[in-house]
Amino acid sequence: MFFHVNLERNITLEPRHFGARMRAVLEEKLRHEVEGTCSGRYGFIVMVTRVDDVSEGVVVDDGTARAKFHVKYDCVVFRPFKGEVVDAVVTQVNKFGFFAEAGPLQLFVSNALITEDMQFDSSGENCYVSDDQQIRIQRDASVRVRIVGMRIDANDIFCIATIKDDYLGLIDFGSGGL
Amino acid sequence: MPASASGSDDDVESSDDELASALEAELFANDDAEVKDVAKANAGDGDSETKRAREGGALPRVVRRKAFRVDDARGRGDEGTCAHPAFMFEICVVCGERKRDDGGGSKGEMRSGSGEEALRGHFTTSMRYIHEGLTLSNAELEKAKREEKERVLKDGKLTLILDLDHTLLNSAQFKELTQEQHDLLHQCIAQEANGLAERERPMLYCLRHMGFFTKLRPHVFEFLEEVSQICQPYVYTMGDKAYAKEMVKLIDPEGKIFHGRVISNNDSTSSHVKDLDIVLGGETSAVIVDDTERVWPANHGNLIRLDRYHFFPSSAASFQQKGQSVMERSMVDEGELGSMGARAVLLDVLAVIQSAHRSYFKHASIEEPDVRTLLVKPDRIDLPLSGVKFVMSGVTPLSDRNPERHPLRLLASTLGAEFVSSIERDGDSVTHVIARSSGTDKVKWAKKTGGRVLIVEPSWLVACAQANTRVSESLYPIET
Repeated sequence: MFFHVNLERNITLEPRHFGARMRAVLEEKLRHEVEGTCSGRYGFIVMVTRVDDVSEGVVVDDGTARAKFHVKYDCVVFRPFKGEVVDAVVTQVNKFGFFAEAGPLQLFVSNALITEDMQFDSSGENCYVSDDQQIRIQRDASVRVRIVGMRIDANDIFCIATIKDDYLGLIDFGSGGL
Repeated sequence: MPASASGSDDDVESSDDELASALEAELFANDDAEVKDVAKANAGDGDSETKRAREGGALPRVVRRKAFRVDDARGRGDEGTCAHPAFMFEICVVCGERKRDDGGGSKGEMRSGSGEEALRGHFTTSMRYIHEGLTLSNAELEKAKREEKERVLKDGKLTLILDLDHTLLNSAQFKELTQEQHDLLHQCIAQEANGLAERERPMLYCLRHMGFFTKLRPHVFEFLEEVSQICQPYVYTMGDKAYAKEMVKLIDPEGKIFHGRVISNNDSTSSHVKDLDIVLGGETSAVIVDDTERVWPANHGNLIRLDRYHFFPSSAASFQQKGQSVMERSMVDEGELGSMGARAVLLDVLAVIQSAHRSYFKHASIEEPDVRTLLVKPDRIDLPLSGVKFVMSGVTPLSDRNPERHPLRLLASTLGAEFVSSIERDGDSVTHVIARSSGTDKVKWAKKTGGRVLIVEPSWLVACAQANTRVSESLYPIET
């Protein structure tokens, strides 16, 4: 799920940036440092939407003359939850299940959580095919899955998901994006 | 979309941030039963929740929600218990519960869950080569092996495990070679590139980023091509993962042969020996090709032990075979003219595999054959060389302590021929002497029998295997 949250961070700037464009550089550096990162609590920081408040710079006393700024900013975060339904793109298929990505989030759907009518097939590209050959989950296919478990680390989230439920499973054969 | 958060394993301490506390209430509600009031949780995004948390002050009312428990139990064997067949990054792939790891659990985030009993006495095997972080319970591994074996056999294939170093190729580090050797090798590479026909791949490589020279064994592409038709091949090496990956890229540039079935040192369950335990396949239908016997203590019967391939002098020296490398023999590779009887070993091995494959599937519908007996003592009468009793002379090196795993010995036995160890004791029953050159005692003895005992060159065996019949011995006389 996506949230719009207000977060804080200390940004250190080198003296050569202490000029007219300092604030722009600061914001740029903030984006560069936080966008795309993941924290266990908030999930993935997708985008900084607004820089709220920048404290006065404090020159650090380690002899480098760099200044530290305390920055408050709004950002969009993506935090998965157990039970949540997400759309994802399949990245890898093997006989134990398949991996998919929902943006930055890695998901694994094990063969126990793939509907019984789908069988693993490695004759060509690895894939799961339904008995009637109509549905084929292979790399680059889009799937809709429900998250059943998560492993949350300090800077990464990994999810176990299922397609064994109504309205879950293949939603696109991978010709286009989601 | 319902905000059906039911907890997580994160263990971040409380925060002064209002939103964070609201989120946290959402995130850290107890996994099993207690979640926030559904109506409230259902409503919406972070902002409205923040507001609600502000207004409400305290945490919202806690209710039991049965519906989610049912959801949650999906995929479990019985209500509430999961056998945890496999783990991905330490969480069960079926129920999403965290792996119970005594002592290794991080920061007390392991809560007493319903799966705990099921996990007691639960042994798992790491299957890193299939995917980073994957571990299987032993029951699941057995099941996967059985299923994979059946699937592979149904395709008419055996499982084949190949070693890399000294078997399919030979590598040497830059620092092990002298400057003259460096120059010579670069010259060879340039020469080879010039002489290469279209679609032909070079055999000698200089891998600067790894600091290696690598020479592929003669006929390796041919071997892999043929063998992948009748086997599901794996690479199993003692080298590390990066090296294995690089080498597989050389021998299988399109990735069509191994499909990621590459087991390196990091993936093996033991650092000193190799074992079929993590290979998906059965022992009765697996063939191993390796140059070192002692690394397969448990699977001796599946092994085809070929001669080590030494291209670089440093490689030969490390095995006390100084002067035996191709570079030291003025670049005459095995199987080429002037190689002093060094055979194109991979082609011999290919013949063994083809022959074993043929006899395996000939009777596979009636009984379940075992490759291990087919390699050594097929005990069948319909094989091309049934009735042949042979001695070998100068084929396997005298220093070889276990000549019975030599490809040519195995080739003869898969074809139905019977090995006789000494001419003194059983000389009367011997029908063939397989020899490389004419000077040996056994050859002289055979000549004296007046044509009763036939003398043939080892290539005769390969020809018989290819034709699947007893080829005329007179076509393969030994060099005199």
